[in-house]
Amino acid sequence: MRKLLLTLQYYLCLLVALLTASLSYAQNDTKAFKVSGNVPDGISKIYIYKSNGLSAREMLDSTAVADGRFAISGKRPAYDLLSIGSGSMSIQFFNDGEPLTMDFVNDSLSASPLNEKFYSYNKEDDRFSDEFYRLYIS
Amino acid sequence: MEQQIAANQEASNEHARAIIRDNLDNVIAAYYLDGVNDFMDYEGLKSTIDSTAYYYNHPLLNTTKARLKMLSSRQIGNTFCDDVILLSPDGKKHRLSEWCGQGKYVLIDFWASWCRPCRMEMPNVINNYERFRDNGFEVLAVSIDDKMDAWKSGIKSFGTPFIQLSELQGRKSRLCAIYGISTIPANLLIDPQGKIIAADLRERTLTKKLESIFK
Repeated sequence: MRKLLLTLQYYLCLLVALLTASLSYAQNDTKAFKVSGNVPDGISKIYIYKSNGLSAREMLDSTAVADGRFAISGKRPAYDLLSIGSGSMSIQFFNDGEPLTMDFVNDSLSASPLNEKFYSYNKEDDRFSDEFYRLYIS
Repeated sequence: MEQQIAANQEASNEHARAIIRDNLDNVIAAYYLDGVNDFMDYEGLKSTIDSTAYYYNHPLLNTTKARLKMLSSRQIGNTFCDDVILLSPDGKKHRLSEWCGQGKYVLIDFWASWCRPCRMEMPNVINNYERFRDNGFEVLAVSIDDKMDAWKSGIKSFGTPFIQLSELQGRKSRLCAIYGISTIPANLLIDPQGKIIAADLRERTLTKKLESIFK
């Protein structure tokens, strides 16, 4: 009986450990990203960056644009903050493993609920940046 | 225009804080905390950072966690830190323990010669010093200048009559790092036993606090 209890206790601990691991962010966890979309005329290359919040970004990869369309994929740590675009035309997203399609021509995103929400917040942020710009140049 | 910039900054910060509140269960909170943590106080940050959240170890939270750690060191009830050597304008070395915990109420007031808001607040500190000094109130003006000449001319131009100290390390000052001072003016009020009893008392709040102590 005691052995059975110990065995049950062992499996219970194992279950808790597994659940905890699956719920916590670990930099070693990786997820595949799959990003595609279309861009305005004149853009020949799209870059993907690791974004460091408000500070610098680091280029990870690039892909050529064909007939106004692009697609790029790879693997990165789970929930890495990435950005994709060219020059000042770019968006940020979290690598949550869900496919993401960005229409840079019509400025619309199709992605996971997390990234769609993040995109809409970033768009709202623009009104403050625009106001700062207006105040500083006036 | 400065007022409009400040108003836009505050609106932007409030927008970010609202997003954080709505997204404590996902990594979006970490992103916005990275941008706005400098504008949040200890209680605000503490209630926002959830160590059980799955994104708790995300790199985006690093600066926020570091700031929370610094702010926790200036919380009410903590004993003042005596690890740092400070210079007086004559080049002599000092420690805060020469004044803190020696039976007087001590205001450690962080300022710098180039700091315009400090210039605006300093007359208030001087008035309070002159009003309460005979009751057992001391002010240690800790400058975060990095050059002796600038510091000395700042003392002269501010007309500060109290004890002057500095590490002359500018923003790399250890005392600022220990107490999480990222903007000035900032201050800590230390009780006669050496415990922090208030922080960032400005304008009328400083006078009210001292009046309540020396009533």
